[in-house]
Amino acid sequence: MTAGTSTVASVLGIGQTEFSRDSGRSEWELAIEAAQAACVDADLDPSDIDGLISFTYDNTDAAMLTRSFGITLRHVSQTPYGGNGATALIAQAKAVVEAGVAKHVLCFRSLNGRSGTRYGRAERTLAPAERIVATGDRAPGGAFAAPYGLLAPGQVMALWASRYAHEAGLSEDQLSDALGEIAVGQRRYANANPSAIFRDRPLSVADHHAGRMISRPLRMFDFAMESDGSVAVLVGRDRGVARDVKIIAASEALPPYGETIAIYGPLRNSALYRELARDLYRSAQCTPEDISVAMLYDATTISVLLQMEQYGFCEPGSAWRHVQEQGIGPTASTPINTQGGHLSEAYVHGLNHISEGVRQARHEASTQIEAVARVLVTSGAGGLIFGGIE
Amino acid sequence: MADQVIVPEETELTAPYWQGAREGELRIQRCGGCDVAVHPPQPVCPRCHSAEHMTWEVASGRAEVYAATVVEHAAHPAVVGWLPYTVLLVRLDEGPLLITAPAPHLDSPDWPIGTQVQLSFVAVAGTDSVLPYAVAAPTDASDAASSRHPSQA
Repeated sequence: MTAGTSTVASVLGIGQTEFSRDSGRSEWELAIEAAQAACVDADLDPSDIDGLISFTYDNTDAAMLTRSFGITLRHVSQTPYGGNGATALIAQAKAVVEAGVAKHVLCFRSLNGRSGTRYGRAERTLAPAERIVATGDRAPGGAFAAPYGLLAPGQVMALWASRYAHEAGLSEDQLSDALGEIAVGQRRYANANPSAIFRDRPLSVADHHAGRMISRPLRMFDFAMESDGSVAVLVGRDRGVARDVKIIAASEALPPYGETIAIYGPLRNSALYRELARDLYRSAQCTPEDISVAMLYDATTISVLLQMEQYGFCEPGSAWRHVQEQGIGPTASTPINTQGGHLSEAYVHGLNHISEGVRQARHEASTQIEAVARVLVTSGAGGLIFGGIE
Repeated sequence: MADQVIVPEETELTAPYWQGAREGELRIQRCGGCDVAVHPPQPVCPRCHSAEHMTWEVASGRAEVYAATVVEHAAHPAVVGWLPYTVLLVRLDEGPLLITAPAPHLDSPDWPIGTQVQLSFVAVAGTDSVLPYAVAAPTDASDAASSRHPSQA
């Protein structure tokens, strides 16, 4: 520790495995590799890790990593609801570090999401049987949803998309054109990103529109991919060294029916969620205009449109027009999902948005946005704001 | 696996809803203190947090389409034979949102948002589970109230 160490938490290191459709390795091994890479990036050793925060969804738990690295943890926690938890990991790590509970908190996600359990499908929640009994009241998949065939997250997002189009006064074709701009914009970023699974696969708006309909109005290229891989993010007190990225603000929020995939609550561009976004900006003492680049959680393209309105980059009901006019590329007023996002880089449940946010803040991204001052990273109802490194 | 059926689990909390469906009624909770209608069922009123004021009432069964999707890709082997199928989210006249679908054999390609529907009750084939489904509401609202019909088809 140098004399310049402050009490403010920063991201000290990021690490990742290869992203693929079939890793050929266990999720445990992937987690270890990503954690080691984050330590190298932070100029630390795995033996320095004394805090660990992971997803309840992860099959690799803290105890497994203590055994692998021979470490004793002073903080262990888990965060629920899948992608809803990505920025929550960092919010909790920031609190733990700033309170002095632990010094170096590793946040990670590791999943064989394509070759193992597939998150786009329903087998995870509905076991095959002749008579399937749907339990609980969550949707998709619960007792009030599954008997109608509402089984997968993408189907819920299709319902959101139909509602968004109605409220914005859009025809299905107009909505599809806007969603296509997002899919194509993110694919262009992925084509410049050597780590992206779809780096060599260009996508046009015509390709998007020709994609197979999955759950109307959402087509194949509106969906995040299923992929294998791990990303780790190491959080500790800012050391005053050039590559430490300050976590200026971090928030968590769970309103009623606000878990990642839920149907009975208001849309993400509603007053409730816009107020949560304003809370995050207030704690960062900045405004949407100060955000140089935004990493918006993209399980589907419609989530991006909704969050552009939630986070104040455009007025409610206008993001569809905004992306038609500006796209989401490097010249847009706020470039979005600059590594290709979950649609085109890999789907590591928000962790690969956090690592890309860190790269943008360090000016090390594959498509680097100029003069990054503030980076927004979102997942679920919470978010992060990183400070750019001058 | 084509013969798979999907039925709801009925718990102590939700039994009045499902028993109501078997009797051709849409039953939802209401907090007598706050006059708030609640669905899906809750142990307490989300506003005043009282359990004792939560009672069951027979809802009108009238609703408006709030969101709709046509599923064209099966997320589970049990629904491959259903494709394509429509899922509707409807706003009950009493306030809450409810997931439903067009009544079997009444599926039409288009259920625009804002369409007025009436809930009707159909059994899951080969089971004793009964679900509310949407049928387009008669244009005359007074007809709608009397169109509720239990069906064990």
